[in-house]
Amino acid sequence: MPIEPMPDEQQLIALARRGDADAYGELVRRYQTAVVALTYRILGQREDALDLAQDAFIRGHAALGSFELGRPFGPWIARIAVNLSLNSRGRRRISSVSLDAGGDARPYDPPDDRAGPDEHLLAAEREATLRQAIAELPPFQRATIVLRHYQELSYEEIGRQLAIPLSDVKSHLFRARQQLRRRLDDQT
Amino acid sequence: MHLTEDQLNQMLDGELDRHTEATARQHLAACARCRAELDALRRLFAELDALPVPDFAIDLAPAVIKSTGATPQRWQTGIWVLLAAQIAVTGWLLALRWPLLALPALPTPTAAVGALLRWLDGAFSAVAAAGSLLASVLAAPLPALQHVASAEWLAAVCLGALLCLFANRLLLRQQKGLS
Repeated sequence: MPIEPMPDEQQLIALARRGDADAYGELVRRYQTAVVALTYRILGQREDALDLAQDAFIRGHAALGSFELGRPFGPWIARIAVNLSLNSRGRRRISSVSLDAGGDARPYDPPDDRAGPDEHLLAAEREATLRQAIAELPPFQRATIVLRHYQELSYEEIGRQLAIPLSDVKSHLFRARQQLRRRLDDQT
Repeated sequence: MHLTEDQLNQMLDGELDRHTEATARQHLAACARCRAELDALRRLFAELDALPVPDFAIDLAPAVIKSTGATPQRWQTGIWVLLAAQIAVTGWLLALRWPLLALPALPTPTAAVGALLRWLDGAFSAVAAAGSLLASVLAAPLPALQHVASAEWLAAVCLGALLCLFANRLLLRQQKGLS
C-alpha cells in the first residue's frame, strides 16, 4: 500500500481555511512545541504557558482568513503567541520560585561527566538565578530577550513582532541584558 | 574613547554595519577593558542560549479543535453528501411538478434569449433526471411525470425539508468554526 505523502504547510493552511479541523490539528501539532517554549520563556509558568499557547492557536484559527498564503506559519503564530503573552502578563502572577517547580514537566538535564557535585550545584543555582531574573524583567524587556536569543530574530524583526520602533528594541534588549548581568554578578 | 555598551551588544548580535564593526574590532585589539566587557557579555549570551526548556510532552490539538468548533474531515464529507442529496431531492420535487412548471411556448425576442431559455430548459431537465435517478436508486416509487399523488408529493416535500434543515445546521456549525 503506497504511503500518502504528508501535506505541506501551505496545503494544510489552505485546508484549515476551508474548515478542515484535521488540517489545523496537524498545524497545531507541528508548531505546539515551539509555541509552548515561547510562551513558557515569556510567562515563566507551565500552566500559563500551556493556556496561552492553546489560546494562541485558537485565535490563530479565527484569524486564518487574514493569513497571507505563501508565508510561513511559524512566525505568524509566534507573533500571536507573543502578543497574547505580553497582554496577559499584567493579569497573571509571576512565579517567585523556580520556573519549573510544581509541574510535571521534565527539565532538561544534560549529563556532564567532567563536572563534580559542587560544579553541578553551582551550575543549577546559576541557572535558577538566570530564570528568576528573566521572570522578573518587565514584559517588553523579557520579550526582546526571548525573541532575540530563542527565536533568533533580528532587531528589525523584533520591532515588527512587537510593533515597536527599532530604538525601543535596542533599549529594551540592552537594559534587559544589563539587568541579567547584574543579577548573575550579585550571585558570584 | 571606549566602545559603548550598545555597540558591544550590537556587535555580538551581528547588527553593526561592516565599517563600524571593523573599527570596533580594531579598538578591541588594543583595549583590554573593552575586551573584558565583550567577554562578560559573551558569557551572558552563552548562559542564555544554554538555558533549557522543559519537555512538556503535550498535545494541544484536540483541545484547540474542540474550542474552535471546527468541523472534522468526516463531517466535511457528510456535508457534501447532504448537499448532493438536497439537490437530488429538489430535482425530484421539480420533476414531480414539471407539467405545471413547464414554460408555455412564447415567441423569443432574440436568438440569444432563445438560446438561454433552451440552455435553462436543458439544465432543468438534467437536474430532474438526476432526481429521478436518485429516487430509483433509493427504491422510492418513481412517479409518472404527468400524474402525482398528493401523499407522494407531501412525502417528498417533508424529506426535502428535513434534509434542508439538517444540512443547514451542519453548514452553520462549520461557518461558526471558521468565523
